[in-house]
Amino acid sequence: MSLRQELHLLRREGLAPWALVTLTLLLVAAALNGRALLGVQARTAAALEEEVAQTTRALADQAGRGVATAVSPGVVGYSLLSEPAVLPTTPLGALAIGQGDLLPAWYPVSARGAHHFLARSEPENPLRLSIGNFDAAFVIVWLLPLVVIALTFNLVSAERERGVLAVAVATGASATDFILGKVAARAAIVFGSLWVALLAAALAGGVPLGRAAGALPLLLWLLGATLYGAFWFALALFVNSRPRASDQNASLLAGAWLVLVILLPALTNLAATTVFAAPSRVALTTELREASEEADRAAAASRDQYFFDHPEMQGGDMDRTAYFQSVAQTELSISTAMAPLLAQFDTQARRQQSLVEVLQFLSPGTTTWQALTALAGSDGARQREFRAQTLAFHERWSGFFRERLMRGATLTPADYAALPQFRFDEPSLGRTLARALPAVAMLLVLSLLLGGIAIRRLRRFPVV
Amino acid sequence: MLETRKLSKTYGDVAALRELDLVVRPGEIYCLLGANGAGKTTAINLLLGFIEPSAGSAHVAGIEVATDPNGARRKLAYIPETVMLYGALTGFENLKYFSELSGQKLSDEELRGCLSRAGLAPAAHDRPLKGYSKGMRQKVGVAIAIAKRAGALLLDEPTSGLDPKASNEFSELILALARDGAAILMATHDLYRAKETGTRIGIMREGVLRAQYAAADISHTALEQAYLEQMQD
Amino acid sequence: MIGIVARKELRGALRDGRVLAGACVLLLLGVVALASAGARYASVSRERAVAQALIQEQWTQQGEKNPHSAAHYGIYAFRPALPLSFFDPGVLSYEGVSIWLEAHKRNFAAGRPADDMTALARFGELSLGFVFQALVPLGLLLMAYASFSSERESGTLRQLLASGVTPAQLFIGKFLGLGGAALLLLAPLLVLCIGTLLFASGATWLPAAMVLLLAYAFYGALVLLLALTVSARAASSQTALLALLAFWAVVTFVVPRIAADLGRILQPTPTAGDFQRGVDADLATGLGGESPAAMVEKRRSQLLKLYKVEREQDLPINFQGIVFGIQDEVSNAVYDKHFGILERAIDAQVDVFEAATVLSPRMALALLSQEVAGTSLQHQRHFERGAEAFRRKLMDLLNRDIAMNSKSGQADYRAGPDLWRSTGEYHFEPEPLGASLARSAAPLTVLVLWLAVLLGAAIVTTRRLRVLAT
Repeated sequence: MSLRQELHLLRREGLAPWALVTLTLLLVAAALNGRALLGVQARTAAALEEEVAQTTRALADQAGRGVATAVSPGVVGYSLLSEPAVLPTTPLGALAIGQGDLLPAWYPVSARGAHHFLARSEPENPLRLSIGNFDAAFVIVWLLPLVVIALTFNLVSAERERGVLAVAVATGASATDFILGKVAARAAIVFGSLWVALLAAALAGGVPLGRAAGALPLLLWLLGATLYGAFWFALALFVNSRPRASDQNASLLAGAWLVLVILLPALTNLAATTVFAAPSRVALTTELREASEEADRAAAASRDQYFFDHPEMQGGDMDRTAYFQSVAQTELSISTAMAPLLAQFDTQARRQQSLVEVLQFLSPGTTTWQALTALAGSDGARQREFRAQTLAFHERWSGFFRERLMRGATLTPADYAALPQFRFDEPSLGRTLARALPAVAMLLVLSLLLGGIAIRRLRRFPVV
Repeated sequence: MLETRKLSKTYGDVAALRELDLVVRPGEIYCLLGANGAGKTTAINLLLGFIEPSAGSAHVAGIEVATDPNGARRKLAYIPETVMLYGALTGFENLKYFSELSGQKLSDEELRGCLSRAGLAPAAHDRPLKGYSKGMRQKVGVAIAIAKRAGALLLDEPTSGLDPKASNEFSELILALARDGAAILMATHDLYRAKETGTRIGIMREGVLRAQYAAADISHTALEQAYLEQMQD
Repeated sequence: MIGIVARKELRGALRDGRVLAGACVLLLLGVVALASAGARYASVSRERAVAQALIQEQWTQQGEKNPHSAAHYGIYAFRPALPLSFFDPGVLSYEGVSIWLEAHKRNFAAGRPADDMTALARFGELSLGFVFQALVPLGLLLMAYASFSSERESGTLRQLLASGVTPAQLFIGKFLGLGGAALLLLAPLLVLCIGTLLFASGATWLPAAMVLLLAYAFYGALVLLLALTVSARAASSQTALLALLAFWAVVTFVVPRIAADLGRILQPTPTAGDFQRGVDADLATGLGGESPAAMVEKRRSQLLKLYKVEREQDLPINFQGIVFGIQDEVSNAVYDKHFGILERAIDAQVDVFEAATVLSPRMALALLSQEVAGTSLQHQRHFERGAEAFRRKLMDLLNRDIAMNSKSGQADYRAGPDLWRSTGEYHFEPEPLGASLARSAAPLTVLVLWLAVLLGAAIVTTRRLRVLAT
């Protein structure tokens, strides 16, 4: 049957147009949703940065006039000023939210210990968090296969049941060509609509198509989504290549969807978090308390030492500098004590991720998801990179104040101008694009494999 | 026992059945002849209450089918063209299930008796139905009808696809049932069988009952001629 | 008649290889979910109990200290794991497990388990609740989608009705038979769950478990009713299957996500920045017109007049303790206001979600399940409120001690273990089942509505049952 005739038949049967209109609407709605979320984050970050810039300017001005609180590195560093370390939004961020609504998009870095700001989060509705995001990646990974299944589950079986296959073959067409023609028509519709829908979604999601940073990842998104769709077509063909009743095919394919898209990713997460369990946050809390107590006792001891050295200060407070030097010392000793445990969190997180990167090959659903979120910059790797860069920045920031505090120096407007700034160092475009390669490779291999076996089987397909 | 009064059924502007007036009394075998689409199956489905009449009425043992289909069905038995029961159950299990459903409380021996009377060899009683031939399945259908001891029996193309021996056995059985007092309506293509078994014969075309004959009053050749005449246009 | 049909359907289902295979897979998944959740529950329970005891010990052993220093040191409240959380983890992976109770400040709960999971956790957790909310219904659909349609296609439906069975009897018989088969097949898993619960916590949570069982059975009945109705109505088995699978996928996975994000768009929550700015502003100016400084002044003159002295130093009490008390009064009111704003914003989002449950009975079941299992948002709030009440009591005690047992200007006042022990231990008391059920009126209503609608559809469909396959 020619492609055109098959397309006509599909249109008359009505299922195809419905499925595709729905897919397009869902993708565009999802992209708009993602863009709204990103918009809120971007506005929050901008407001923060503006606020801090204002505070800094005010303090610099005060320092110029010699106001006591503005020239004290202790007061400014440890209680007045903090620099927001912001994770910028990415070109494709609206298409895949990933952990972006759960993990912090910014940290308020102060001179105090890192543990003060690392564990922050936005006050969110936990019900929404537990359910997950409705973004374009969800529509592709979860719903695109359902559309493909709906169009292909009875590809061969219906024609066989209706006797059409026998008639077609009797006229001289080969069964394989007949069937492949049907696949081609459906693929044409699905992929054509997918590309149009994704482009529409990209526009709706504010992806900058004119820039390489926007266009190239989007192209890989298109490729990834297409290959994912192709995998499902190949799987459907594979299932159809054995003579079975149509509804058995549908049940099998639905079962495959359940396993590949829902169960295996959940089991992968379970495996990763069980094998490389993160350290207990509760233990972190009690350790922190111990460390604080220790540090406070040490500080008290040094305070006593101070008053021993400065008996004339007895009865009044320590002078500001000495007080903050003591605070700085306390913070430092707590940070040093906590560093190994905090590092363990990172280590376990990295190990979990490595395990996931191995186990992802059990399911095309997982690999595709990983690729789509990596291209959109909302995956765990970029988040961890952000944390690492924030911690490095924190070293510089707290060092800036601690160094002046220990010297007993005061802050000048020149110092304010020289404050370290946080700029997130994005991973290179090439590295980001490369993150999609495992998925592309796996999907290509699986599609060709399943498709190949299916075609071989179809050649010997019983026509009645 | 079986009666239709101006029974009609239209689908859109296609009349599948037009004002059928038919009576089948106890002990009679009425054979309805006609081409595919003549309305024979429609008439049967109307008597079974599987579809609703557009006009007129159908009656089984005095019960109007349209108002009390369940009541009517309890008074009749039905054997379709292809008897398709539950493939995973044996012939005996199928009979037992349908017999229980119709409210009969027959013992296992009595049920097996029905199977034997219908002509199913005892060796086959306990094999799964999916392995049965068409003829064997039909015998189970007949056994179900026998077990029900209904006053009326509806048969739709019962001998289509049966070899002559099986066909013959079937005829014998039908005649025996009629002798026991059942009113039997049989839709068929088989002119020969109709003349052999039937008490009365009707010829249908395009939803209309064109002619009726008493089987005793017409010969095989005359029947065939009459049939062909009706089919001509 | 119904009994005969039901018995046949039951036996047929139990003998069907595919049904048995599906049941095995479900059982396996259920056991995996149970084992992992059970293990996690055991370790989390133990860990938090140990931690709470340790924190308490740290508190009572903190030696001689000024009570206000102790107030800044503070104490931690840990949320213990509730037994039924192994069945339905609810939203608690996304809520903090510990709150730092310190002076002058009401903190958010910290230590969200989800922060330590991989991104794949957002695919959904493989919990028993998920198995029963999503996978068992799928199994029921696959068991029942062809119940009427294949009988119609093969012709046995004709035969059945000709035997004298009414469509209604057939429908009820199939419902009871298939439902009974499902219950029998799931029984091992259910027994395991109840057994685990009894082992973990004795009979205390058994009533809640029974409510859960009823609710999930109710949902299962809804799904079976739907599947049979669609099967009776659809043009073919294929159409029935497609329609039911589409319904299942949309109701189980798509509608919840859209509803949740819709809530976020329609009712945005304040950001952390907004929250902090609001708190800071109100702390500075005080609520209700009077600034904190003014309140302190007023109290000072009141006390000076009461004790008939001229100077603060001459008061028989330490005025600093009173000042701390006033500061806490102000900050408590401010935090009440702003936490209230935040809670109402989240509640508004949840309201949108609840309204949307009309489209997805699975969502209604999920909400009900969380409430009864003690793993819902409201249960977390109960924990937070209890911890906050304890904090206020604690701070009050410490402030009083400073006021009563020291003198103004006495900088070296130290209290000891007696004071620390007198503050008592933080203890979490879960809400009673009645409270959870009272809050679940909306999801319950939705489920009952769906039952009514589906029953109506079933009745209409059986009355006009199509017998012939064309």
